[in-house]
Amino acid sequence: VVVAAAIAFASYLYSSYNSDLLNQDATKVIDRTARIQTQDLSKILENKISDLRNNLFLISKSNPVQQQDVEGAGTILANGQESTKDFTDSYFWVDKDGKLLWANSFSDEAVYRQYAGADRSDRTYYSGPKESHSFHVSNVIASVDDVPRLYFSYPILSEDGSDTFKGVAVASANLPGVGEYLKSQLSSETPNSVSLMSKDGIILYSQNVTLIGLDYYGKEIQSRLPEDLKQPLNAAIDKSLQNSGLGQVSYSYQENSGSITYVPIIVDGASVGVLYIVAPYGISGEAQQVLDSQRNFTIFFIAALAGVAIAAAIAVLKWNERLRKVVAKRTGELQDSNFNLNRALEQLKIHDRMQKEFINVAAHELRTPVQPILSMAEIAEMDNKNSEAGLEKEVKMSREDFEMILRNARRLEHLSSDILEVARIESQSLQLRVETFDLNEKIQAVIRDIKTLGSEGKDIDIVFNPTNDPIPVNADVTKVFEVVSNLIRNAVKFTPANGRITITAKKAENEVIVSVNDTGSGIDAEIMPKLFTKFATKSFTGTGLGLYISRAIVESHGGKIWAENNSDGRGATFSFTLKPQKNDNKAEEIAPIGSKKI
Amino acid sequence: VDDQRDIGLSLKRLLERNSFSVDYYSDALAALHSYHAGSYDLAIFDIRMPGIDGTELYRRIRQLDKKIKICFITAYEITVEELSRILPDYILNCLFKKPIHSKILLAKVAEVLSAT
Repeated sequence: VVVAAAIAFASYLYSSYNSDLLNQDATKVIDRTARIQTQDLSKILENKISDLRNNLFLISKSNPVQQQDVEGAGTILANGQESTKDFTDSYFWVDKDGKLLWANSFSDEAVYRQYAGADRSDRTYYSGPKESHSFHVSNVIASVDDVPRLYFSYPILSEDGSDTFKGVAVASANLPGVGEYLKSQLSSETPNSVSLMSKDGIILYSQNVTLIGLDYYGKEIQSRLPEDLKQPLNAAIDKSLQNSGLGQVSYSYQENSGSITYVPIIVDGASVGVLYIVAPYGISGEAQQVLDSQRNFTIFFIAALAGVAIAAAIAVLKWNERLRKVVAKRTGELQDSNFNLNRALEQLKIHDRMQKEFINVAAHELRTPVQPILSMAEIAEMDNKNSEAGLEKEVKMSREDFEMILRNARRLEHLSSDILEVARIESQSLQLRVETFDLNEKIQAVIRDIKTLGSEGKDIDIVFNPTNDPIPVNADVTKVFEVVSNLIRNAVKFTPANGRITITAKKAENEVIVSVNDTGSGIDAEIMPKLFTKFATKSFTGTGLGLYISRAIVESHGGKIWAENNSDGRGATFSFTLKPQKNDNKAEEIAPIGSKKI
Repeated sequence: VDDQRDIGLSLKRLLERNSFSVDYYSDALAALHSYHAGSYDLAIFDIRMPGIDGTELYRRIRQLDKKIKICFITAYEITVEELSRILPDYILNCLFKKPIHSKILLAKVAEVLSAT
């Protein structure tokens, strides 16, 4: 957008610059044209006035005038008027005393009778040449008919060499007529206007004829000039009236500007006045059209450029937005996968720590029963070798010592088998051998075994009332046996003498529930949440692995296992569920033990 | 002192069989309560025990008796360095790992007792 704006701005500047150049060029052309026109016009005017002066000169020298032949002079005056009629409206003759002798209009009897002999001695066209004995140009004089006129006069001097003043030959120029004549000399295509002003600032001709004869510096004209134009215009007029040659000044007023070109008109040493050509600046229609169309094109081009730039900007912004969304999505995915990786790593670390802890505890548990076996065996060995004669002696061992060895050996066996099973569960290498069997039967078998091996020497009542109907289940019979056995042995362990263990097994809607209820000490609130984890509970006889293994077995059969303290405040109840036998014997529903993360 | 009764009893039997006079406690607190400074030359404590563990028992016995020599026994994976980190003032370097062979036990006990 910035680049587009810069290009548009540059384009606009270039267009303006071109337009300015064209304007400057046009101004120069206008000024030059005005100068040429001014010079041409001044030459025409000077020639005309020269012709007039020559006519008056010839009239003054002519015989009829020299000899006071009024009739003959009338013909000559009429001829003069005829030769300059596009410029003058009358020739006349005034005698040495200022009396009107003859005028062209005197050919009319009535006019002659009215004006012949009229005194014109107060007129400058009489007094001027009388004093200077040379060609004279009057100021504007409003004649009797109210037409502003300019009077050209030439003295009539005697031909006898004495140059005696004998009167004046006068030609009058009707100023509006002079103006029209000058205007006609200008090309009709030019917008320029022409004006004429006498040396003392009297307006001889202006397009606005009402101004003719007025003093430029007079109140009437000065009060009409706009304040901001007055000063520069007056300065230009002052300069033009003082200068003797061609001059040109530029003006600028509000929306209008142009140039004023001037040149003084002097004929035979007599100043006629100053000719002005006012040329407004402005460009010819065609050039203006070109400029206009170029400006229109520039504006269109800039608008098009701006449109394209804005479209491009919108496209870029949209693309950006899309990119941002894609990046945000990818970032989110990365963060998710990072989070998952971190969590996996965290779990691995936890698993690793748990594994190390398991090994440490397992090592402790395995070493513990070894110590008494080893020590007792070593004592026996010492006794055996410790004979004075070096003979081997028969070793006697107390029942207490012997039982210590047996107890610890059994514990060692139990521990190693449990640890091995945990290892199999955790490496998922323990497979279930699923078959259909009656759960009631199996529970009874467990109870029989426990009673045979003795309930840790305690008198505990183990009660099981099987349902009338068998409870067929699809499961690994050995593993289920192990779970039931673990739960009952656990109950025996924590139930004091004369306590009671009640086992129930019943079919519910979609599962079989087995519960082992005891009247023992219950489960510690502290132990409860980690009850089914490895080595959560420790007892002298237990391995701390039974409940963990039980949970792994139950869950691999798709069941649940849980424990709760009895509501009467005495003892706890452990329960687990199994799936009942189904019509279609789907073994594959049962997962390998340990496949579920524990 | 060892919470594992069979271990305590078997080690007591082993040491008695080798002419030492031995008292065994399966409970650290009981051992602490019946302790009299100067009664023993050597004590052997299991490190991991419920309640007061071996290192804590060491600190408390040390407050009662500056002279008694104390050895540790453990079934856990613990090194002398780890032990001296828990007990910075413990310099005896007498740590038995279960299971202890009688010859090693007796040799170390003799060595510790003869040291000044």
